[in-house]
Amino acid sequence: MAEKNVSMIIRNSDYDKIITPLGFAFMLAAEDVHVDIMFVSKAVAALREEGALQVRVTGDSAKDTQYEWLRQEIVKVGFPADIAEILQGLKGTGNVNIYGCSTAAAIFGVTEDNMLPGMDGVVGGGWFLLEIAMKADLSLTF
Amino acid sequence: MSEATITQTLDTSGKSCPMPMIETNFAMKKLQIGDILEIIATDVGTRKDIPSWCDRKGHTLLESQTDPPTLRYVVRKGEPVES
Repeated sequence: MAEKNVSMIIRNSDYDKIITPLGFAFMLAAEDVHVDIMFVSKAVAALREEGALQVRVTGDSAKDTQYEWLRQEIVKVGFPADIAEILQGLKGTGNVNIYGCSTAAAIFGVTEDNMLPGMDGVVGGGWFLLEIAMKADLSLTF
Repeated sequence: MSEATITQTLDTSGKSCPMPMIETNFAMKKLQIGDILEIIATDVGTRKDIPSWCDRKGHTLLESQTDPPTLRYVVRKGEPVES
């Protein structure tokens, strides 16, 4: 039974940016810390099956961090490379809830029907901030 | 060699944070109180991770060999700590 709570807000799903919070969440969940993750802005698209497959390194980071290279390095250190696999693994710990922001979901075409299996649905930002983040022992934004 | 009888050995060689601690947590959860887990690692981050994890979880660090490249820890599983 998890006794401590951490909330995370993920707003950037570029591959090189999303790996760190998901890794942190995995580590915390393995220690029986309960983790609530809210995907906001365009990051919410990573919660769709096809969205998770399309996560890449983009923008300025793409100039010096190549997606395929980074994927291979992540596999080398033993972490799952596929975003969907990581999200399913987090759910498999039993200590993680994963939500999509309702406004971001509406904008980026994410519904509870097209989310990856096992996700915890689409919720309002107010609920997450007031009921989850403000009551957590630690809140992180990525 | 440890005088303690090792219940299970977990080899995390080649893996980096967060995997060694994730795998260590999962391995320890399957053991009984008093069982002994030997952890092999190459990630130097475990030099701080393992002792602090033992303190938080009520485990006892019986041995540690923290000179790279191969690090080794022997941990006895303890009673859960009330937080």
